[in-house]
Amino acid sequence: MFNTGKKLLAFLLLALCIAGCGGSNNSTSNREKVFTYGTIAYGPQHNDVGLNPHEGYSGWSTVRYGVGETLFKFDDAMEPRYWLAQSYEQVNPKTVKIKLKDNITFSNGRKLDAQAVKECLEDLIKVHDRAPGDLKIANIEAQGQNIIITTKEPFPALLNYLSDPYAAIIDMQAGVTADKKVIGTGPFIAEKVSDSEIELVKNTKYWEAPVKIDRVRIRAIHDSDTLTMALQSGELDAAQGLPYNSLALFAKDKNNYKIVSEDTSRTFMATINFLSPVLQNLYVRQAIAMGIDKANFSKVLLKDNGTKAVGPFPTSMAFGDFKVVASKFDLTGARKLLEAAGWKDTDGDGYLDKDGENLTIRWLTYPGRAELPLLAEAVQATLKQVGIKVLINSTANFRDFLKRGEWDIYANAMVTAPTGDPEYFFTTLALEKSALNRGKYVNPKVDALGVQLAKEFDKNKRNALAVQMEQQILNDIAFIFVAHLKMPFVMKKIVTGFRPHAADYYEITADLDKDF
Amino acid sequence: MRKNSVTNKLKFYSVLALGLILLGCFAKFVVPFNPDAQDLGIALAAPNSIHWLGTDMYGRDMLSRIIMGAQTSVLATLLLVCLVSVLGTLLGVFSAYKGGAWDMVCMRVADVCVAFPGLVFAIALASVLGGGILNAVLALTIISWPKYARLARGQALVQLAQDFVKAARLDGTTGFTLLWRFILPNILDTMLVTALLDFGTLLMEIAGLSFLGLGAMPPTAEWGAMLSKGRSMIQTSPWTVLGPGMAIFFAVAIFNLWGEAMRDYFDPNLKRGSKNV
Repeated sequence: MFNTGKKLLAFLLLALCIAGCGGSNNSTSNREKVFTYGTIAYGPQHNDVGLNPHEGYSGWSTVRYGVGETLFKFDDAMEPRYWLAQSYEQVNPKTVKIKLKDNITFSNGRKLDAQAVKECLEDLIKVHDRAPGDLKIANIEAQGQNIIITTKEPFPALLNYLSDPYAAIIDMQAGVTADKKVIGTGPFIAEKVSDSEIELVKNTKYWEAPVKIDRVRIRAIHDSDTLTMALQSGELDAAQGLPYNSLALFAKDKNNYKIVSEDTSRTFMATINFLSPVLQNLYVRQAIAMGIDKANFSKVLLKDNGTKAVGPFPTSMAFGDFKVVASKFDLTGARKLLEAAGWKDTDGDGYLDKDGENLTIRWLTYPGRAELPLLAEAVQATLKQVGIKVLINSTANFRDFLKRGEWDIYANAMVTAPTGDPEYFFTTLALEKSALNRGKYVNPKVDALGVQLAKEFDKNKRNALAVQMEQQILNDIAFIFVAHLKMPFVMKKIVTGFRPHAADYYEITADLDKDF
Repeated sequence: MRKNSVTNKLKFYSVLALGLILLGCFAKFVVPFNPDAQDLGIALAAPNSIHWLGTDMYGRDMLSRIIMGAQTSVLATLLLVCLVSVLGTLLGVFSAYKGGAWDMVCMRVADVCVAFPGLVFAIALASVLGGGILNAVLALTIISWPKYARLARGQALVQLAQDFVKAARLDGTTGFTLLWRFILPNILDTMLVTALLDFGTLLMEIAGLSFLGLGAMPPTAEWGAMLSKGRSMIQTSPWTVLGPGMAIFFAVAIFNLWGEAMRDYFDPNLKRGSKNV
């Protein structure tokens, strides 16, 4: 009896050991191919939680993680190409007729026809915060596989805006679940969605190509060191948003990892608050712009993963940096400008002052992108040499400070041309009525050029107008553009078909695979 | 023999601890380089003959920042320890003396402060007050004083029951004079030893708040903040973490050992030279 008990105990222990050894992160009992991806770019602070494209920036998650697709998709040069659309015709300046591909179904089996697109776009312009203003849609008509969109005014950039992730086509009859799942046409179907994790399974009926990975797990990891260690430990197959200091670790381990990078229009930039009395003086703004060492920020702090910016758009774009000029790094010149503006160091504390007040700038930023606090501290040091005191406020709570106006300069990282067209940047940030004109910048000349840009169909003329607007905001020092980001994805060597895109929102596709 | 050893130990650790405090006071005059001056051209340089402890990601000299960090970390902790021990002791002694409603209110407020998880409460408070080393000190003061108040109250109650205090009362001594002449001197050694033993813990808590971005603000050199900045480089440039990490380790060790030496010194058995110790 005693021996039997011992044998039973030994058997139980053995069974426990075997159970403990099984079930790794990347495989399941039926030998599914599982891809686990860690990213810093998903979560409430990015306003992209859930997969409902009609809510905030969640469309980025819909498209990024392969659940939804748009009518048009940007190629590597950020030119719109057909995706769900098969062809289009500009009927007149206000009307576009788009023909849909015939072989597409939603992941629930419903055929993608013009009626489904109409239902989706109508809901988008009804509930979304930016889309109604961007798309200017007056009417949508569905005729079989043809969808006819009429805009309120001539709208040359309509196709670009229809490529924005918020225009991802979802089945509105299936609706949006309480946990923000949607039915799209993409290679993956959402199984579980939360604020910190998304689990996807492959869409076996995907219209474009066979999907190679069975299951995808997206994990939001906002601490970049945790992300680094999760990738090193093998918990993740790939990661986005690793600190640049960590890249060297993976770059030298070529047997196990690879790094794929892509230039993007994500730009580290600073917005000037024109309501701040001290910044209403052009000389002060110019001195600040001249006191930022963009070259060393890109080279040393971004570890060459960025290029020095002049304006909002990278040189790779026809309306990019090579067309405009901005203030150059010049500390002596900056000091002279401030002296000309009446600022002097009368008390010998190293900071310039006027009427008994030091020249102080409240620099607001957030730690969600690890490089932004670095930029803040680098700027603090160089501006101190000019005599400007910079008080850094790097907080995840930055939106409250923006609302309360408790800032002079707000530094962020923004994709300036997500639609491959320059108009987005200006309509979003730089016109008097722009929804995100946080600094309350107003220049009638820029607004007038904006009106012209909105009506201009000729691409060359559009680019020329954009360049004029860029130059004007640079002359006014309404914004300071510091660097354009090169986005690296780090992954295990066995991962294939996974690369960043200039648009920053095409990540998980049917091509994704793990090659054992 | 044992008493001499205790006295020597106390002298040794007193020299180290006071040396550290003096280093903090005169850091500005001791640093080899300007601790805030950036030179991106030498960013993340490994320890070498010019920069003995290397440079950080902005090319700032690590040794200079660690020395300057002593000013922020040690002096801020000193301020915190003084605040909590003096405030707590005075409140505790006064509660014991007055009794009644004053005692009840004071102790219930202390209970409320103690009921919150210490560091979490400090983090919440520092978030409300905003960043900055003084706000961190204030936040930690609010959560740390009850320990001293309770201890002082207990010690004062014992003293108040002593015959010499009763005699002083009969003699007409009351109020401030009684507390100042008869109570405080008799509980001072206990409070001093407790404060010294807490020094290390409070230094860690200040460093913890700075590590979380709620203490010292850039470009102020503070060990916890330096540790936080360097942690993403622990594998590639370990000197950015080792320097401030070792500084915290040694400072905490020195103050803990100093506290223990002080406790041994004030031990009444040792004072009598008891062989049982």
